[in-house]
Amino acid sequence: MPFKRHIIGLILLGICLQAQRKGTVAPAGPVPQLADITASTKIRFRHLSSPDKKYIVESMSGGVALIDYDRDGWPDIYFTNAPDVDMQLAGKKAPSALFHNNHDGTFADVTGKAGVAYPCWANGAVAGDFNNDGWPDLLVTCFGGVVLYRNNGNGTFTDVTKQAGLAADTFWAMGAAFGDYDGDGLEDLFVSHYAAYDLHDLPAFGAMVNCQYYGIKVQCGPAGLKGSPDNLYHNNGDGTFTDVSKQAGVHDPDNLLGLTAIWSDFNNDGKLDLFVANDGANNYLYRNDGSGRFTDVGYQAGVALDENGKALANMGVALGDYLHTGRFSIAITHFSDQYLQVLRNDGEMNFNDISGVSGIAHSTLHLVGWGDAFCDIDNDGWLDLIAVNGHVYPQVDDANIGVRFREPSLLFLNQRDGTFRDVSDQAGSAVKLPRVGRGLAIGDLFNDGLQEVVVENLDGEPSVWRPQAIPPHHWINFELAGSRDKLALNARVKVTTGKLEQTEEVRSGGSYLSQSGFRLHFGLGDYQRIDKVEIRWPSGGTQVLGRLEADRSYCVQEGAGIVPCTTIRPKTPPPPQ
Amino acid sequence: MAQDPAQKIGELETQVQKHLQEQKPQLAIPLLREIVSLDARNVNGQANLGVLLFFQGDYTEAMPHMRTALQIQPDLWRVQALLGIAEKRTGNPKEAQSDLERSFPNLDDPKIRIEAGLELVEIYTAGSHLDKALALSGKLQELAPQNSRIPLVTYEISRQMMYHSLLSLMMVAPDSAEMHMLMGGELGRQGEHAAAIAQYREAIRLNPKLPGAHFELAEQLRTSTDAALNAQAEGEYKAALQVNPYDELSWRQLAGVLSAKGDYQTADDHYRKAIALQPRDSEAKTGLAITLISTNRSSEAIPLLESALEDDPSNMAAHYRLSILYRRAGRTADAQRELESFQHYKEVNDKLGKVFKQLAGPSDRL
Repeated sequence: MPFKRHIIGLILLGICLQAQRKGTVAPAGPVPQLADITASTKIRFRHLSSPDKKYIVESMSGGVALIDYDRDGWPDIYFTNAPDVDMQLAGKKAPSALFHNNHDGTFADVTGKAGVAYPCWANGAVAGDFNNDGWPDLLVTCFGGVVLYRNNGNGTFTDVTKQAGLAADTFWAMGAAFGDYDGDGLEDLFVSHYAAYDLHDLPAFGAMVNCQYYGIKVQCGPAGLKGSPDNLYHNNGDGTFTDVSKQAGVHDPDNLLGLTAIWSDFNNDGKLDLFVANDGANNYLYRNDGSGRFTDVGYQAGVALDENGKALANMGVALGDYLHTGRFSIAITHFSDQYLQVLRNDGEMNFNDISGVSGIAHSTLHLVGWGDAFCDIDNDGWLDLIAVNGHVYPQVDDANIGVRFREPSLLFLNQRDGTFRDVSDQAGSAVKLPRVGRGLAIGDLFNDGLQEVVVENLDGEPSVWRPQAIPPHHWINFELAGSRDKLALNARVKVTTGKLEQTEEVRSGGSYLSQSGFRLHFGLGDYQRIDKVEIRWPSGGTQVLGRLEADRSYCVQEGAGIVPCTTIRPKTPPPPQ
Repeated sequence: MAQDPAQKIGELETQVQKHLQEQKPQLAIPLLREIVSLDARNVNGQANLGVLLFFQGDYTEAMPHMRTALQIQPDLWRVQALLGIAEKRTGNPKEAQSDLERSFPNLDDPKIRIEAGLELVEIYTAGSHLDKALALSGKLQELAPQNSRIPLVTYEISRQMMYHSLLSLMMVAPDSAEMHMLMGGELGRQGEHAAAIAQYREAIRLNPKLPGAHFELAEQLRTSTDAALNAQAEGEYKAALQVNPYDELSWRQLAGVLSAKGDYQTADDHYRKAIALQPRDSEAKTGLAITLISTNRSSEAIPLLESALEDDPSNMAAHYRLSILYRRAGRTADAQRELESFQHYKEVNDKLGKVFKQLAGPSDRL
């Protein structure tokens, strides 16, 4: 009988939703406030951008990297910058900037001394340690290849792109990530490339069908643009890389428009897999088959497309174990008329698009999303989700189509039952204020257990947001040093605290064109200590640590355990004679 | 001594055969004329002379010979079809229609049949018998699905029907709710969404119970770029259902809106209502299946998706989701098959998209 079946269906639905709940449902407590503290940080920087953005290349830049370049334990900040087409053709450059953390809530511009002001038409920035000296190096993705800055350990960087064998990369690079895919202890490098685009043969603004948006003349693309292949560079261990893209099977033969790339072991088999978000096309999920070979299982895994089998404008990528399953789910930001996609990792390379049922999709349908991150903004032990937005067409402001160029940001609080609560309107003016956001990075800038959010805006100054008005929750964080890879990229830490089991991973890249801090942070709610820490090191080794007091930062060395931080941080080399 | 006419005709027929085998119809025509002058009842002579003259483009001289042949032997369907075409081309549509209608169902040569059918469609269209024209073009589409002329003809007939309806409505009730609804549809198709919404609102103001008006308004609102307008779609679908609780499409679309909001329980209910009203709605079944998957009831989703594909084998979403579910269920071969089907239809879809874009504007560089 249909009616009876229907009732049974509803009952089953209720049962299943209950079953999805793992912890207790979050109390509807006060909403954490994100205060804009940019002014007090004394960060003065301006991302250049043409007002009209007549070309797509003028809409895409804006990466931010939290990189503790001097290894003093305080995250520093690097902002990329990009000229517009006219500037570039006239030979003018846009300065990127490195800000040193003064340990007192302020930052000092050290760009000049560091020598990282003019890498290129800079899009994104990621950190890694390609020469494994313990000093984090900086890779900048450019409109026209990449620039690799070797960290000299004395506050300066040297452009070693050519010596490293990366100068042959001349495509429009966007996403990049370091990761040791072959387990040899050396960080390899993946670079995703966007469109094949020639500044001397530019598609005319508004001229063609792909240059119109709801009847408005706008920049051309990305629809209709031809893409460029991606590259995997194997670290040779002598300061150079070899392009192994084709033999590894990750060269993107379809030339899709690659944006964010990120390494993680999605199926927990001990080998690093690779996720690549492609704009307007299917995403790649390259399963690491071992022996340096990968197979794209994006379609099979359910991460290639949206829930209806449609390709989305995949831009920023966040990974996080928001359900405490020990598996990293994926959150991808998209263009307007699409939704922020949450792909729950169900294990064994099976993902489920739960954007709707998780409460995420609806609030995001009208926004153009970029940088995003899972982060425990209120330190309650459950990862929340944050994203910045901003359109690509300034012309929408004059078109009366209900879309604005500047858009508010988004904050979703984890409800501990597989769903999120949209608190964007209640989280303070910093979140609500419309902006043209692009890059986003997360890190505890001031070593006080609160994770700041650093946003690079396409138009104008960046933003630094600091959580406030949150309950006095406890926290703990870890700075790791591997026995082989000194930055311990993709090391995993599982923290057990009472009933809470949280897993995090050290990662290079992610979000959109950005790099969050390497230190792994865990909110602990009301717990004043943790019961156990289990670390799976990139070498394959595991380590278990016992009870640790909360509200502290710990440095952990593979094999040795908790050590003074000076033990794992490199010493500044003596100045050259 | 005079030659026996039958013997003479026999000799002439032999020569005609030879010329025709040599692809020299112009040499055969005088011989056929001689045959029919010797024997006006010679059906082969009359028919062949008519056909050869037809293909020479001499319809005026061809027609009497074909008519004579048909008087002698009425089941010469090919000849009758050609006669009908000749009559049409010489300004005699009434007789042309009669000959083509009689011959068309009996023709076995596919090429002639399609040509005759298309000529008949033109006659119907010119005579404003659009319903007959549409029915016949549908038949031709079945006979020759690869023939690109037929969909174009069908499209033209449909367009004419649309404008006829528009004209009729303008004449009968230019200020009616129906007229505003029709205008809304036209504007929406042209991408003038704000104007379309205004027309639908006016239609509803004039007649709040106008069938379909709330649904069409909801469709425009749902696809708007404006979040505020978007939010109004749900109310309009509900209004459509108040006017007509059996409006299957409104149940389905409302379910889609609710699932996007995360209200899967109500979406589940509404999808089921839609399917109960239209058991072959592939989209509703897919929507319900996605709702089930999202709420961790994937095993229930598999038969729904399979059923959706029986109803519409080109349903890309169903192929995609089914491939994923099969894989999880360990049905690797089935998963691969569904993935291949998905990719096949995706390619077709992408090609169509490119064609539309090319048609929509210049694309020399992008």
